[in-house]
Order: sequence, then C-alpha cells, then structure tokens
Amino acid sequence: MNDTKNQYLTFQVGDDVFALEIDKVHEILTYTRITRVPRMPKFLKGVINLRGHIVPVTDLRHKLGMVPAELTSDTCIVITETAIQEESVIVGILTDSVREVINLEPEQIFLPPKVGIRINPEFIKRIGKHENLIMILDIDRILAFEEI
Amino acid sequence: MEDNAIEDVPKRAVSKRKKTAEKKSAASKPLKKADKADDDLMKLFKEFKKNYEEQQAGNLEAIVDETRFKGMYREMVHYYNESGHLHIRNILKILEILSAYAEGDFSKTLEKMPGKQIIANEKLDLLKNNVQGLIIELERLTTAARNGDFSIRADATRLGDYGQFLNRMNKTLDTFADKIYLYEAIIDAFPFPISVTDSDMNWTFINKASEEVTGLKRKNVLGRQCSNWNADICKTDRCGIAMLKRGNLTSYFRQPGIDKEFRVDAAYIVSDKGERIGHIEIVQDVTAENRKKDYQSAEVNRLTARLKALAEGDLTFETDVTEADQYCGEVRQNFVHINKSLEEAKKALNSITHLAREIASGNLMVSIQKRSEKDELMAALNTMVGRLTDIAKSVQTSAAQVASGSRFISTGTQELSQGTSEQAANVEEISSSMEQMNGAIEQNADNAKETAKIALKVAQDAEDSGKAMSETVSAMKSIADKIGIIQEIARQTNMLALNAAIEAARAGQHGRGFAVVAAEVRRLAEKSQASAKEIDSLSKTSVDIAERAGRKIEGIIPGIRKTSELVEEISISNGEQADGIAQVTRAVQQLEQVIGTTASAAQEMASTSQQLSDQARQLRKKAAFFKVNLSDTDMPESFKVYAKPESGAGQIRKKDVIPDMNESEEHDDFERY
Repeated sequence: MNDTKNQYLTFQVGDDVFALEIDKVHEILTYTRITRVPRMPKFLKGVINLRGHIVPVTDLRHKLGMVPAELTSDTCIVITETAIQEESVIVGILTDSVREVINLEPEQIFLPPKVGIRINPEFIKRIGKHENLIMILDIDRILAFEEI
Repeated sequence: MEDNAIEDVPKRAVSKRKKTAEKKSAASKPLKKADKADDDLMKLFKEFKKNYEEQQAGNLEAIVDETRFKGMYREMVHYYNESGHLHIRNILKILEILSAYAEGDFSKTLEKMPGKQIIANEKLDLLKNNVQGLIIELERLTTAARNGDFSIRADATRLGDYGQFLNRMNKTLDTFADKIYLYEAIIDAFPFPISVTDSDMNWTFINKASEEVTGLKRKNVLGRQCSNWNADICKTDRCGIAMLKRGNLTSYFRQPGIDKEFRVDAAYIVSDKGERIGHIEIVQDVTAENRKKDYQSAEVNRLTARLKALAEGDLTFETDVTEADQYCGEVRQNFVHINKSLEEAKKALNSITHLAREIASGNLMVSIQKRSEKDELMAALNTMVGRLTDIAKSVQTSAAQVASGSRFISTGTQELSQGTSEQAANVEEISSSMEQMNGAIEQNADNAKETAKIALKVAQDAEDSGKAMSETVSAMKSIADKIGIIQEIARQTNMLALNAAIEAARAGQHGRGFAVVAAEVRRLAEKSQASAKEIDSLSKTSVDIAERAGRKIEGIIPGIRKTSELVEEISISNGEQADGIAQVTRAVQQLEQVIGTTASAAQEMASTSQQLSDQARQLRKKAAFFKVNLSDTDMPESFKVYAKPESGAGQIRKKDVIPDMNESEEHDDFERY
C-alpha cells in the first residue's frame, strides 16, 4: 500500500499539469461519446456506458473555472473512484490528455500556498515537485463540493 | 255787215259784191234810195280818210281807187287824185336838186317854177352860193394850215349861220394855233434835239436843241431836205431814216466840229388813218455812255484774260487798271476794287504754291493756317499734310522694322542652312541605322521562332512535371494515411501501457514487474507516436510543397503557352516592322531629297533676304525724304501741332527740320545692319 501512496497519474488540463493518487484511478478511457442527460448539474458533461455501468462524467475545466476545450485525439476520460457520504462512487473526469504514472516521494510534496494560485485552493490537496510543479487534486472535495 | 262788204272790195269784183248785196237785200228787207246815197258818201269819206292817213305816213304816191265809185263820186275821186299829183311832181323836182346839192353836186339848177313857186328857185340858188363860198374859205384855210400857216382866217362876213360857222372855225383855228405854239414850246424845252420830217424827208419841225447842234434856224429850214443837218451819216446808208426803213430804229452819228457822239432814235409818224406821213428823229448825246462802255469793255477784256490765266494757274498777270478820262473815273474805281481782290487771290495762290513746293521737297513740318472759317482748301491741305506725316512716320518705322526683320531672316536662313546640312548628315546616319535595324529585326525574327519552339517544349515538360507532381502528392497522402494508422496504434499502445501501469500500481508489489514492462511499452509507444507525428508532419509538409509546386507548374503552363503565342506575334510584328523599316527607308530617301530642296531654298532665301535688306535700306533712305517731327509720333491727329494761332493768317511757316534721324533706336539698328 505504501507503494501505491507514492504513485500518481499525471494529466494536463489547459497549460496546467494535475495529478491524482493512483489508487483513486480506475482506468483511462479514450474519449467516447458522452450522452447528455436532462436536468443534470452544469459541471457534469453527461454519462457514458462503461461495460454496462452508467458512469457520470465531470468536466474538470468547468470545475476549475476554465473555458471548455476542443476535443482532440488526446482527450481522455479518467475513471476515478471517490467516496461521497461514506459511499464509493465511480466518476469520469474529462482531461485534455493523460501524461504518465510517476512516483512522488513525500519530500517532493508540499502544502499549496494560500495565495498566488489561479485554481481554487480548496481543490488542491498538495503541490508535487517533479520536472514541473504538479497540482495534486483533492478529488473527493471536487466531487463533494456539490452533490452529484 | 256793210263794213265787212266794203273792206272786202279790193279783193272781189264790185259787181259780184253788188249782186250779193242785192241778193241779201232781196232776201231780207227792201233798201231805200236815200239810204243808198248815205252809204256812198260814207264810203267816200272813208276812202279819203284812208288816203290822207297813207299820205301822212309818207306814201306820197298813194291814190284813192276811183273804180270803186260811179258817177259823180268817181269824178270827184279822179280830180282829187290829179290835184295831189300836180303838187307832188313839183316837190319831187325840188327834192332832186336838193339831193344833188346835199351830195355836193352843184352843177344842176332847178327849172323855173310856175307862180309863187319861183321862190324855190331863188332859195336853192342862195343855198348853192353859200355852200360853195364856204367850201372856198375852208379850202383856203386848210391849204394855209397844211403849209404850216395858221395865221390865215376865213371871211366871216357872210349871212346867217354860215358866217357864224366861219367865225367858230376861225376861233377854233386860234385855239389850235395856240396849242401848236404850246407844243412847239414844249418840244423846244426838251434838252435833246428832235427833228421832224415829212415822208419826203423835208423838215416840218426842228426844236431849239437841234438849232444849237446844227447851227441852223427853224424858220429857215422848214420844208428843206433834212440832209442839211450835215451829220456824218447824212446822205449815207447809215442815215437815221434809211436805217429806220431797214427796220433799225437806232443809229449813231458825229457832228463835224463837235467832239461828241450822238445817238438817234427814229420813228414813223402815223396818221389817224394808219398812213406813214413822216418821221421823227430824237437825238441823244451818248458820249459819256459810249466812253464808259468802251472803257468797261476794254477793262472787262483784260480782267477776263487775267481770270482765265488765274483759272489756268498762270499767276504772272498784272493787276493794273488803265487811267480814266473825265467820263470813266467812277467805273475805273470798280475795276480797281476787282483787281485788288484778284491780287489777293494771286497772293493766296502763290502762298499755296509755296506750301505745295515745301511739301514736294518733303517738308511736312509746314504750318497751314485757315484763312477764314470756311477755308476748306487749307483745311484739306492741313488734313493732307497730317495724313502724309502719319504715313511718312509709319513708313519710316516700317522700313526700320523691315530692315531688322530682314536681318533676322538672314540669320535664320543661315541657321536653316546649317540645320539642313546637319539634317542631311543625320538622315544619312538614320539611313545606316535603319539598315542595321533591319538586320537586327531579321535576327529577332529567327530568335523569336526558336524561342517559340523552346516555349512549346517547356510547356510540354511543365505539363509532364505537373502530372508527376500530382502523382507524388497522392503518394504522400497515402503515406500520411498509413502514418495515421501507425500513430493511432501508438496512441492505443500508450493508453494500454498507461492502464497497465495503473493496474500495476493498483496491484502494488505484485504488479511491479508488470509496471516496468508497461512503462517500457509506454515509452516505445511514445517514441513510435513521436516518430509517426514527425513523419506525419513531414509528409504533410511535403504534400503541401508538392501541391504548391504542382499548382505553380500548372500556373506556369498557360504562361508558357502565352509566351509561345506572344513570341509568334513577335515574329509577325517583326515582319511588319521589316515592312515599316522599308517604308521608313523610303521616307528617309525622300527626306534626303526634301532636305536637298530645303538647302537650295535656304540659299535662295539668304540671297532674297539680302535683297530685302537692301530694299529696306533704300526704303529707309526714301522715307527719310519726308521731314517730320518725330517727337509727335504718339499724337493721333497732328493738326494742332501745326496750327499755331500766333503766326500770320494764311502764311506758311517752315519749321526747323530735325536733321539727324540717326538718334532713333531703330535707325541705329538699321545702320549697324
């Protein structure tokens, strides 16, 4: 388990590189068609069919206050698992591209500064220092911020 | 009824009337004898009364018709008629003598009358004596009067009215004689001689003036021939009466010893019956008149000759007037006045002549004065001189301008000549240039043909290149497609490697080896992807380049085709140019000829301009003949310049002539030229 704690999946939204703890990640999907569902919250793009399961897909750009991006061949949906009110929920996150799985040692991880970051700091769990600075997202908060 | 019957008597037979009366009486009532007697008496009375009335009316031969009566009545009527006849016969005899006397025939004498009628003889004789005496007296008086003797008087001692008549006659003669003396006195009172002659030219009267002229006395000359007047015309055909008879009423004569000339006007004296009974000649002294006439005639002749000379322009005549005698002083004065005027006219004409001479010698600065308000001659001369001055000035100016103009022409001609020779050289150069150009054009034509061939080949090659290029492009595109597949594979591989990595991570310690493989796969995938991307971008770039090259080559083809066409056109143009050059060459040859002509013309012009220059110089010289005041040039009308009021009227004054005309600029030019 310790091994997994140090591993992160990095992905890119806009110019910024984000990371998720690897144990929060189920898998990566190439972009498939997202079906819009009426009366869905604005931060949800719609739902996809993942091997028979209906999985909602959130647009991280919307959450992070960015303009929506064009779909490319690199556009991916990262399937994550989060706990909402003690209940495990599977949610897809739309990213511009997935980069790689990296190891971040504890000394490479810092608390985020209170000021100087464009992103709402509540969504940033830690700042990782790899080749660049990587913002490690608090996916639970992001998804729990508003009820799904 | 009875009255009617008697009145009818002269027309009808008495017997028939009687019968009618008887028938009537028988038919009505019976007549008584007493009544018949009364009727006859009444008839008689009526016949006598009728006869008396006829006698009274002057019908002395009227008788009573005795056939109407019978018996005693008839005899009574017969004697009545006879008695009347007896008286009438005597009266008719007296009347016959009386009528002879009345007609002036006193040769008859009345036969002796019977009885008391002898008194008729006595009275008729007395009448005859008285009348004959009267005639004799009158004859005596008239004869004396005819001879101019009015002193004779009739013997008035005769009886009765005859004496009275002669007395009155004598008194008439007295009055008549008085009148005659009066008339003589009147005629004597005339201051000019009057001569009266009878038809035989014997004097019947001369007046006192005649006596004075002739020295004759009236009482001695009466009845004598009028030639005793002794004038130079007497007994010649110039005699006044001889002239009168020829119809000429006037003649002239001189009296010997008197230095005078006389005129005689003759006329016939005509009686109340229209007969010419004599002549009257009235003489006038016409000496003064004649002398005046002669003088006047001579002077008029001289004047006429002078006026004729004046009219003909000969002013050499004199204006003297002949001295006058006692008669002609007054007339002479008139001629003196006329000649004085003539002298003035002569002077005026001499002045004008002098003026004309000045103008003729070129002096236009003469002063011309009008001699009076209406002097049109001087006004006209003034105008003429003004116009001549204007003309002379403008001629002088023009001559100068012509002179300088001719100089310019000469210079221009030289330049023209020079230019012409330069032109000729240029034209030669042009000619050789044209030949060179012709060669160049021919070469151009060959080159153009070659170029056209090359262009066609290039076009073909370009088309081929285009095709090759498009083939390349499609090959590239197919490579790109293939690369895409490789890329997709690489991506999928990457994705799979990631998911494998996630799985490996999630598997923890167990997945570690797998994770390494996954990472390696992923790295390979990434490399493949990067290479594919590179190839893709390279191929895309190549395709772009190839497409651009293809488009450019395609773009070149029509250009090359156009070039080919243009080159052909150039070839055609070259042909045209060659024609054009040939034409230009011909034109240049013509130009050479023209230039030759121009050159000779320029030479002629040079000599002409030289002549013009000479002419201008001569004109200048001629124009300088007129002397004008050049400072007045600007004045439009030069009259006032000459009309100086202070100078003498009608005089011509010569102004100072400006001697040196060379002071004017134009003239300077001229001289230099």
